[in-house]
Amino acid sequence: MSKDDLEQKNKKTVRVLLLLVFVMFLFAVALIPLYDILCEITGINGKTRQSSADLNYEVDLERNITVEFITSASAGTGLEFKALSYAIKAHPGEVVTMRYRVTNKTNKRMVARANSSITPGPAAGYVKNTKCFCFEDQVFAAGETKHLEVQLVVNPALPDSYKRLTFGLTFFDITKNK
Amino acid sequence: MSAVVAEHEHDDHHDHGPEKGLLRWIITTNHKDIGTLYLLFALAMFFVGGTMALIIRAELFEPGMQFVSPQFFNSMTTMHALVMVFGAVMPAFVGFANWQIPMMIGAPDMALPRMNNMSFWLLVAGVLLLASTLFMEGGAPASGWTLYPPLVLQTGAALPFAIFSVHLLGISSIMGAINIIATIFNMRAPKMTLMKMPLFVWTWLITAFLLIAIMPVFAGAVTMLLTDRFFDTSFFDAAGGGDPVLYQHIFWFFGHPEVYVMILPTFGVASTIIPVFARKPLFGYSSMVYATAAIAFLSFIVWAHHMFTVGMPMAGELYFMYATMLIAIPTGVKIFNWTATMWQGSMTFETPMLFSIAFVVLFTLGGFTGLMMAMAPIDFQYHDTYFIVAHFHYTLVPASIFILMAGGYFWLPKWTGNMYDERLAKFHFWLSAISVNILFFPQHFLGLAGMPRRIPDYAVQFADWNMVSSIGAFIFGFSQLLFLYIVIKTIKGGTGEKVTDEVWEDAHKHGLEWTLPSPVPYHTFATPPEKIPTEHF
Repeated sequence: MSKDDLEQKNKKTVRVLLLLVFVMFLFAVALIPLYDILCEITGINGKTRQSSADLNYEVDLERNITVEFITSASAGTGLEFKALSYAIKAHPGEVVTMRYRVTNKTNKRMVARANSSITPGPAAGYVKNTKCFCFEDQVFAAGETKHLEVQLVVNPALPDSYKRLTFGLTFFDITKNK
Repeated sequence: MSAVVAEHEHDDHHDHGPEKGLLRWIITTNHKDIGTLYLLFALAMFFVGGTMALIIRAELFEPGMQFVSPQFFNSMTTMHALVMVFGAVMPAFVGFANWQIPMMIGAPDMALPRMNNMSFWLLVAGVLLLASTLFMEGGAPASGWTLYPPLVLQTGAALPFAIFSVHLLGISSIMGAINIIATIFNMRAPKMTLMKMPLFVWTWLITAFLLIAIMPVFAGAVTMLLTDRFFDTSFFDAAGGGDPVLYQHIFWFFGHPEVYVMILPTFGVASTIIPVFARKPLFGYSSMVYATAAIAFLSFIVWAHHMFTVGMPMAGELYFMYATMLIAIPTGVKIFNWTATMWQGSMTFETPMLFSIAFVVLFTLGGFTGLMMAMAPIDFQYHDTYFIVAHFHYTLVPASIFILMAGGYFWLPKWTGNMYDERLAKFHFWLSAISVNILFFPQHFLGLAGMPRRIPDYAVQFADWNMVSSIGAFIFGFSQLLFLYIVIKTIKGGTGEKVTDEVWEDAHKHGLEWTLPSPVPYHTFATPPEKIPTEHF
């Protein structure tokens, strides 16, 4: 093989391999939307569906489920965040309402955002979040206490094996991003 | 770039030896020089990373806080891992690749010699940048080598430097990988068909493809960390709708093939050494090639077995469990092939062979613990305990590191023309082989008893085995100074005994490199060899 031939072959190999590098980088970026889609389909990370659509489920009076409410504020937030009761017993199809008390313990104005999740994850698709303060950012004056409300409806199609669902909310301080 | 190379007429270049003085090492494009640079750099980093390991083991010698702060301790576990992975093991195998691949396939040099030089110096820049974070405000990264958010985002001033260093290391690895693939595809001697290549060349070819596939993904992940911290994105920040678990998925999509980047060339070197000292051809050559390819493929579809406890759905747990167990099949093929190669061979036990046999035995042990953790329900107990620490150290230290030493003893006489001191080398082997087990075996017990990894202090019931492990660590660490001494002594003249061209009895049947004179001339195979030893692949 002459030098020029080898030269050409090497150039071609490098071009193909650089293309592969580029494709793999794009793949890494594409994983972000792919992951969101996958989570939505499978409910992997317990994201509930926001919904204002018609929720006239027929209430299944035969069944009881327990919805537990857990709260947390991410480290260093300075918020006191509590659900007013630990759990509610309800029938599937019924509107479940829970009230929360949130106090800004700091002496500064704070913009905070809450994120919700349902455990176990596969049940998330059956839980409709009809009203939640987590849909928009919350602004707290220094030392302010707010009473906030959440409404959930559990689709009666929820498989029988689920007797207990946990609805979690976590507050994040996003003041510096605003 | 290659156009520039062409303008240098290589014909009049061949008569020159190396440049004189220090500049030789900075501007060299010779594959042997660059191989030497990689190997010496890796050896230096092996001692840097080893020192960090000894700081860790010194702190863990007794319960309670003795020597370092918890923050610094976590920096040490993080930096030890990053330095050993990116600074020691990977560069050492690239060093072997630089020295050996052209000689094994009958090529005069690597395909892209200037890029070869650049990838080495970028590596040095990357590792120095990483090391510089130790002296920054807030200390070096302390989140573990996996750099999980949100913890890693709490790193002080070091974060952007660490991430930029990862970028440099990635670019360096990608350039090295492109070079290796171009060399193997385009520069083989005419009779060297793909299925006649030595297994070391095969394993590196596959490893190079792994590197090209994963390094851009890792670069993407750490870049997203960077923008999360400095540009208000929220890829991994739950407050903005992101998900930290997503980072784990991306990281391990890189991370699992990455650990195979360190083990596949290990398999290649073992497959080169064992036949020479068993005086038999390698058993099942083609099955070795296919097994390597199978392991490489499987490495891309098993990543979430590192994340069994994040709350995956049952279907995910089952899939990743079974897919992971599949890896045991091609790996088993390899173990059986090495054993069958030794079976009824006329074995002798020079130091390279001793290290290789220890590798086969101890790597199998590390593989079995891997199989234990592949079982999702059981992994909930082992996850993030010392059991996983014991597992991956068994697959890296008495496997990759032992084989790097075996390769060193095996090829150093060829490269330098001097024989190493066999008596001292055997002493080094036995010290290492015994102490490595004192060091890592008790960590299995600690893990099963529930001792978490990455902690500077622990409950008193873990005290005894930690002390044993630390004693093993110090014996192992200081034994490696003996290795350093033997290597330097060999380079400087060794035992004075002149080695033959084939160095090891009948080695010329096993590879082209043994048909060259010892020490290997600066330029080899300016014209490709006519004959290649075929029966012994």
